[in-house]
Amino acid sequence: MAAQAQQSIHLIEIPTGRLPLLVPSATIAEVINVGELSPLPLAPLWALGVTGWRTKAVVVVSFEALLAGTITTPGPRSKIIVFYPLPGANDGDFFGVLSARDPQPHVIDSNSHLVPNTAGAVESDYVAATVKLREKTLLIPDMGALKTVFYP
Amino acid sequence: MRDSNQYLRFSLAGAYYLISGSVSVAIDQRDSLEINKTGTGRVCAWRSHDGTRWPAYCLDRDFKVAQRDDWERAIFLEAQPTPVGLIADQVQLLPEGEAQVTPFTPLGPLATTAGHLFSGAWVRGSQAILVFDPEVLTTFLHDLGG
Repeated sequence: MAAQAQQSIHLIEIPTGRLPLLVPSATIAEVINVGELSPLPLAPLWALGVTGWRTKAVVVVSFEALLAGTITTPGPRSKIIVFYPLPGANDGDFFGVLSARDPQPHVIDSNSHLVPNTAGAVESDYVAATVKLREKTLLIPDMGALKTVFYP
Repeated sequence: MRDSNQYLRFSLAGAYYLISGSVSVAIDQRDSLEINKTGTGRVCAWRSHDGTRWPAYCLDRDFKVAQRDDWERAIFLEAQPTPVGLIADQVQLLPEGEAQVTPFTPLGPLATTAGHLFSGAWVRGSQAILVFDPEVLTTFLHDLGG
């Protein structure tokens, strides 16, 4: 009998100033350097500014500010993770998340040690789950909650 | 009336913005305006016109009312009951068709009671110059005067 093909999923770890995020790699359009960040006056604290990407203006979001209201500024190793539009959003509604440094790819299969971190779960409207991958604690964003706060 | 495809580019608190040239009724140098030297109130300067005074507001990077003396010009925008002005630096009327503006909607709640301040953007490499929605901007500026 042929061995059953092992299913795997490709995830991206996004380092932030707090706990890193873990998202499906299919949700990410591109990782770019932090270029010019234009201010977005009267925007919430979590909207750091606007950058040009291809022909679009993309709002760059601080997940740390969403979680804790902390002011974030890009560092020398920061990157912008450009996400595809959220489900239900308009086709052109790409958005960026500020990463503290280069994101890390992970391939997760049944042998991976990705488990819920029930003891240290982060309580936030924007966190769907807190998980442990090997010894590292990561946050899985709640994309539905992000859509609600981005497009109220 | 200027072509609606022409834009004014100006800097405000160190950042560049665009607004349609068709909504600008006057661009005045500081010397031709009546400066508010009282140290009170929110108006930075006025333009006298046919017995009326058009207020101009100076904004900081966060679009809070600011008082500063190092500005160069005021752009007055068509509005009711009177035009209303925005203090700006380095004002330039771009040639027709130079700015390639694409639709842009900011994330988050409406920035003002009239809507989002910006409705478009001109992207050049990593630079995104935001384009004001003129009606929202003039409503916002008039509301500053209470």
